[in-house]
Amino acid sequence: MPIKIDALTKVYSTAETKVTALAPTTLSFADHSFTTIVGKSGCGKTTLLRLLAGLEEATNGTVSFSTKKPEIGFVFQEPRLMPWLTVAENIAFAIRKGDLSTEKLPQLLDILGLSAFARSYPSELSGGMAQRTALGRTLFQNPDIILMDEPFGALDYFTRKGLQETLLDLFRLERKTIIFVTHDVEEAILLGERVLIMQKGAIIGDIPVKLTYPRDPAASEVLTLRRQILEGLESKNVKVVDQS
Amino acid sequence: MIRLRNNIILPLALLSAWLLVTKYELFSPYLLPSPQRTFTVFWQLFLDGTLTRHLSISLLRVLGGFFCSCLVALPLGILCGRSTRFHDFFWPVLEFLRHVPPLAAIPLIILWFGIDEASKLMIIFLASFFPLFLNTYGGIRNCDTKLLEVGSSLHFTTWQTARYIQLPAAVPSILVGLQLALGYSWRALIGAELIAASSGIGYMILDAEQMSRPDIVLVGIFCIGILGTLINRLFLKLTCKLLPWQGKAGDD
Repeated sequence: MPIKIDALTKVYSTAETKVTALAPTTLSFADHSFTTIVGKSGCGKTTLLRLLAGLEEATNGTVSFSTKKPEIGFVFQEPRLMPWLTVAENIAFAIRKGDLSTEKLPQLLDILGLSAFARSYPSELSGGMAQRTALGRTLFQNPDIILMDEPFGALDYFTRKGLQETLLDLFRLERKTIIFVTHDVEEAILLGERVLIMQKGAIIGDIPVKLTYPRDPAASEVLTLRRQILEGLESKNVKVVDQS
Repeated sequence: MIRLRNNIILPLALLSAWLLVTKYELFSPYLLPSPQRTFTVFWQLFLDGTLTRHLSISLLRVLGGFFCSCLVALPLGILCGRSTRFHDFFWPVLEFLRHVPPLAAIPLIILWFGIDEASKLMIIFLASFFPLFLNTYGGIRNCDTKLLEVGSSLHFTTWQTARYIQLPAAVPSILVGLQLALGYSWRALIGAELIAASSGIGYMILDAEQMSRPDIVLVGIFCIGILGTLINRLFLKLTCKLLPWQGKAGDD
């Protein structure tokens, strides 16, 4: 198991109150798997992802990896591109760490459909192209694990569909471990091999999706899963799934 | 073309008003000389080399003071923006000095630096230091935390974050600081040249005032204004070259 989290907890404390963003959670993610995490806004999905990436410190619990120090890539909700760099320079931004080469840059630009915009600045890009560039930046880093925080959340239907296809192509090609957070149930089913349902800071459902790619959103299996997940999200009696 | 037309309407109107006022002698020529008289004096001063000599000396003083200011304000702004320890160490003194107008320090500056070039450079330095320091400091300090988080997600070191994210993000603010500092340097010039100077455009104006020559005073004022505007234009061109990514509209 490449990622194992044990009793991972995050509590935000203010002068007056304490808010539990992530209740003690024990979970593992298989190697080369595509897991989606779905839940309503404020349910703790992003917190879980940020704890995995080391962008926040856990109040309690641990995150461990099979390899000593895996390379983790993070795709944020917004593209967060450096406005002073061109598309190509933004994608190759990780090269500033000094241990990467630009050889695969043209190939990556081609895969992401950005070759014609390599010299454009972020202010000249559409939302979809900017998010493609952000995805390219993470892929260029060649991470073992890719964490994605609602990366397509702000995009229109067609752009989102196009990017989902690109992501699935890349997943099938490179088989990275991907953990993808979304609030869109359909997106979670179409992309993930496993869907985790979150509510009030806890994992309340763990559903394997044994369907081949590409998946048809109108297929009966997808619709059944959709109903099942929605029921889970709307249930008031939260039963926490513990994988320990 | 329309912009150029709009740009020259007000100067032309002011020039016409000046012509009319002097033609009908609404003010004494000793108080307000005519545009023709001013231009003639300008041409004489230009031909005999007086104007060029004073202007070049003043320009050297402005650039010298501005350069010294850059040497100190830029690194100090970056250091204070990056490190809370540096900030806490320097801030009380800088905050105190910020509120002291350079002209108020002239007596002490003369006492410490004499009446040579050093005292003039010091006044220009003091006038241009704070706009540059504060803009550099603000640019580094107010770097978008979302961009900094990208650095964290890529496991950048502190040095890499400063070099590849904070510093480039602060460039627009630093350029505004440089532009303001250059403007302040010109303003401080007259103050600097009040100190027992025997050359420079400020001295020329002061000398003309004592000789009751308002035409030369006007020539000096116009020269400072025009030269300042030209330098600012050059600076804006340079800014456009350095920030090609700014001002490009998105198509989304």
